[in-house]
Amino acid sequence: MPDSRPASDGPVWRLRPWVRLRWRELDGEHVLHEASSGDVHLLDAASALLLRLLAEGPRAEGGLAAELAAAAGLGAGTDARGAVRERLEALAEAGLVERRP
Amino acid sequence: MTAMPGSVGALGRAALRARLRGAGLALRCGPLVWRVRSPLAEVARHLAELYAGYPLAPDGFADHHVAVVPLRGLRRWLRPQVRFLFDGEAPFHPLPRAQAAACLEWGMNWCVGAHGHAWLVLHAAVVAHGAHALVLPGPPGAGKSTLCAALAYSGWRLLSDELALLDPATGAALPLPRPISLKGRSVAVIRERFPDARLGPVVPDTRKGDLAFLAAPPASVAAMDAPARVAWIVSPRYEAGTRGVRLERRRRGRMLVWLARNAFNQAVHGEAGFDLLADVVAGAECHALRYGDLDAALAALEALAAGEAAA
Repeated sequence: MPDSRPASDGPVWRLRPWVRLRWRELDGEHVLHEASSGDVHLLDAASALLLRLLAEGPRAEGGLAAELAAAAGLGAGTDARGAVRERLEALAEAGLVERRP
Repeated sequence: MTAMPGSVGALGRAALRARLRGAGLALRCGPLVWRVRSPLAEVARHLAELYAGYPLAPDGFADHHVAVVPLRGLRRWLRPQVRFLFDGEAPFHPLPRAQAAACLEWGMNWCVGAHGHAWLVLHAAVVAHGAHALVLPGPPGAGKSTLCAALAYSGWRLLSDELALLDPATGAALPLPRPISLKGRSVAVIRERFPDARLGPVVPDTRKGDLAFLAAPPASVAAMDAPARVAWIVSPRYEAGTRGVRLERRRRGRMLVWLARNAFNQAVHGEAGFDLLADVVAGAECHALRYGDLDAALAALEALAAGEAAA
């Protein structure tokens, strides 16, 4: 379970309550509609992957970084946490995700 | 020109004014019926000159009951003003009386944007080549009305100048061929290029600058019930001093986001509206058009319609 990851995996993130996502991929671009706000977002592939993972349930930052590195075909030792943190904060600012208290 | 029976033009000026002063003039444009009331000669003239070919609607139901009326009070002697009424309520501040026709047109736009929820309403001009629609989205000042007017008088069919109506059932663009609002220099450009086109008087100093309304071509008015499938979405940008034209493919994801954010009622339609718009964008070719030369822009869009799209 994502919740049982060790503390070193960093903070746990989740979708904000009421957020409901609908996706379209057009010409390689990821477009997202969020039903509760009616907002439409254009996301890069990494942000789209993070959001899809969080749509399955809360995840620790370290786990998300590992998934992102694997999806990008990077080595197991690659630390993608910086990229993940940056994108999660942008998604949080857009009202889509939040850190679990 | 002989007026079509049952059209606004067939009424004659006196009967038109009598209706406007009385129970209202019910005219149809595409899927909508407006019942217009006004005691103002400017409004009667505007309707007589620019709406002559529109069918009168039968008495009874109208989608929108609107009026343009003069303001009362002492101020009217110093600075005459008019007010737009929708179902007897005033959604806007009054405007100078010289802008009475604009007050009506802007008010009619507002009716569609605020209440036209039977359709997904986009901020875009639409013209058609045969059964295929070209949607021209863009912010104010991008040059879409000028381009729309030039296309409409160069063999394309006008569907709408400012408000694109998408049918939720089919995704097709529905015609709403009302007069085209020309601003600033584009008034002179279109007048010079199409001297036979019917253009209303120039109203100076509106909130959009100098402005004049151009009648929809009669053939477009006659075809107001013929929808068109969206084949091309082209966001135009007029750049003064630019030579020629650049028509470049635009990625559809970006176009979808722009259209959704500039739709009047995307929020009302929610996920269904998003799906509809995404389907429309997915089925269309998307381009950005930068032009400084109207002839070159028209030629580029003709080539696009002929299947010779730019890379």
